Amino acid sequence: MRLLEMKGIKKFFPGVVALNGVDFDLQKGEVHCLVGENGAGKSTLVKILSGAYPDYHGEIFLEGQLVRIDSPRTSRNLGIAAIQQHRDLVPTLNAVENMFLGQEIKRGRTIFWREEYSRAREMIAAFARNIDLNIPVSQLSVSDQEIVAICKALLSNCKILILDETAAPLDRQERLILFQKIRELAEKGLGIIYISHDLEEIFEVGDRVSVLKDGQKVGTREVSKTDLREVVKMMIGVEQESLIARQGYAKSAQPLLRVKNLTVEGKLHDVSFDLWGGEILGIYGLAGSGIEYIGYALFGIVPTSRASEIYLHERKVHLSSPEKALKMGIALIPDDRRTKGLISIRSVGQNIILSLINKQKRTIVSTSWLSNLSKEYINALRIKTPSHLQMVEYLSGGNQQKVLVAKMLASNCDVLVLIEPTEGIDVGTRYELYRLFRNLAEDVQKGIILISTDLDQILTLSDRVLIFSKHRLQECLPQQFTKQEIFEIALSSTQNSLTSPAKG
Amino acid sequence: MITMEKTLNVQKVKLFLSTFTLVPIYGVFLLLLAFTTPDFFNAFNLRSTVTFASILGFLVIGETLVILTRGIDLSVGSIASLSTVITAALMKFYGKELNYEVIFFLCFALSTLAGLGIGTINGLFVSYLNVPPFISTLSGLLIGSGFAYFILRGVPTTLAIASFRNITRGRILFMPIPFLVLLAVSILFWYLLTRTSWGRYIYAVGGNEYASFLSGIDTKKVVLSAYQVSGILAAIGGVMLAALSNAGFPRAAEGYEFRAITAAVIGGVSLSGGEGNLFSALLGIFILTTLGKSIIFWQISPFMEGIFIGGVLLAAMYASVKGRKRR
Repeated sequence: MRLLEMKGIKKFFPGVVALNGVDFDLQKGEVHCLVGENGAGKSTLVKILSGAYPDYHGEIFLEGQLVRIDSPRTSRNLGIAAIQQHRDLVPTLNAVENMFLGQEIKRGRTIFWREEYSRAREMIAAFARNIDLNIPVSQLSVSDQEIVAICKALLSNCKILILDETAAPLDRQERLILFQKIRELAEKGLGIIYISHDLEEIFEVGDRVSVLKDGQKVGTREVSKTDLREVVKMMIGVEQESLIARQGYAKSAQPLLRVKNLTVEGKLHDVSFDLWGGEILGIYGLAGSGIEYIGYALFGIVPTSRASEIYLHERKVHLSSPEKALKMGIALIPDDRRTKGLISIRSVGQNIILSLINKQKRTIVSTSWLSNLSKEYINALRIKTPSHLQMVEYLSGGNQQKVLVAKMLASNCDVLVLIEPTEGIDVGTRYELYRLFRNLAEDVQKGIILISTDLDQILTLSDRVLIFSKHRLQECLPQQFTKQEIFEIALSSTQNSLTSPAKG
Repeated sequence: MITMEKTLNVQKVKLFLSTFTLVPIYGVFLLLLAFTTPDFFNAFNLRSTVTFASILGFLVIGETLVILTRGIDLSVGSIASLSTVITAALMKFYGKELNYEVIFFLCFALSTLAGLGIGTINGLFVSYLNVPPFISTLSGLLIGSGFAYFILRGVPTTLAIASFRNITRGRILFMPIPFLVLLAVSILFWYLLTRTSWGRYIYAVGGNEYASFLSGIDTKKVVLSAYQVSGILAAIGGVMLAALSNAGFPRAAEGYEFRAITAAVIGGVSLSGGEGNLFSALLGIFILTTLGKSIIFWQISPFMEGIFIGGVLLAAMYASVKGRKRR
């Protein structure tokens, strides 16, 4: 009998279909891997199973019985334990308190601390670790926190264990131990769902692999009967013809922006590139590689090392804050527009004028000036909104993103840095935004840096592509490379970092 | 293995020092007092300082619980005032008809019930209706104070039964009764906070509510319970305050919520939730109260007390922010 069967699972977010009729099943004693690009719907599927999204559509059967997972509590009671992508630990509690949270060992009504500590020490020792159990987990390293999260999940007497990007912060040695634990648990009869960006791992732990793309399942394969090439092909889909990218284009004599040895402690290492006006430069990297820090550094959000040099119009500039960056003409469209980009409870117009600088800035904002200015951008970018007075919150994701673009254009920038500019925006609107970015480059000669983990997007939009991995820009490729080749370069460099000697 | 145990012990000592930095600070402060104003250390003054601080201590325990869940409780002062009024009113209206024991019991029972009621309203709005704690407990403050004014029509009323004052004047082994009761209650809550699931959930919810929710904890219930306990403890503190001041009036504990919050913050309880310990917060209220009393001995106008407390609060906040950055 199947341990778990999910039928026709759908999940909608405002303006986005995250899952569109996905079937998935899990056998006892099986490790079932789930792969797909960013935003394919893996995490959504997992969150439904762990009870975080009670408003899903579709049916879930557990050991043949129809169940409704309406809360994390239900999920736990059904025997499902998940280690989530964003480590769900309480930062202020210590490792032991976190591991036993919601599943305390008690003698009568009193927590049996000594027993908890010795059990915890035992489990952590199995990972060949020495973790300080007395300090809050927020003071532990990321990989130590991950170990704590894993131990927490292993402690619950679950039938189904979900690991979402669990191995990412671990080194090679720890991964091998984790894989061994996973195999042991599978042999005990647990069903395990394993999610990873590192496709190599599938072949180390998996029995079957299912591929998701754009909220739908592409297919399921026996791991022994498939290979990396086939999985990659399923993941990235059929080659689309590049819609908009140009073949040749004229570059001016001087680059608009020249970045030399850009270094951000622990994130970027000696990143150098040039950007010309009128081009879209794509920077591609895997999720978690830290590519977004290139954008943060250019916008003065994160401190850069002293060796870093940035030249704008061949003049050396020092970008230490967003205010300075904007004055110099560099604008950023950050990832996660809701928290970093827009003030969603203010109107479209109010958002657009937020980044005006120098002479354009006004001490007294007259309504007619505000309305003229915002109407100009609403028309130019075709923002679908009843008026400039509409609250940004009520616009669709695509139109919110356009407001963000308008805000940055209003700042009169020369360089526009985009980080994951179509995150959470559905396919139709995506192309409209692509055309907009394209026009900004070709018609008004803006220099655009597109930082993305979405390979389709990079290839559709970019005039040139840089591949980022291991904190560096490793290859500079002309447009001729195929998707498969680019993906494998980014992937291969991760593997290099894995096979490098593990830390002592 | 031996070395590991050893390092663990060193860490424990460090942990102890970092949580109880207030002990040496209080010690130095007392020494300073001893040198500048030896008069401070007469038995009467010490007793009255300890008694007053102990009564405020009940408010501090509740406030600390609420702040640990990442909330704030502005209603504790008003609940305490209401309790003084309930106490005075009961004695005024039923003092001649009922036994003293029954009256005393009723004073505590009815006040506690009132505190529980306001605490429950606070908690329900915060946890189930997502009203910000600042607003819902501000409403709690207004409601409590409204009842307090209404019951005695705003007239300060002396307690009709004089022997009630023995609750705060009595001593066992030189220690004022309120201090002993506070000691017992704080040990109880120390036990609850560190040795039971409920206590762990209080810290967990304040540290990361969503992670706690995903761990299968009924986070709303936990938050609600913190406000309820805070209400009950504030009410008990209020009854003792009535005994101390021998009167009940609607403004008896006005502004005491800020003393409780200040004490908790000085004691290192993090306003962003999940961090802090009860005894440091209680030490905080003893420091504040001692400071308030010593001002008079230094021949500084008592009206300037607020200026000093405000300064101490700023210094404590600065130290805690700086300490956090260093980690």
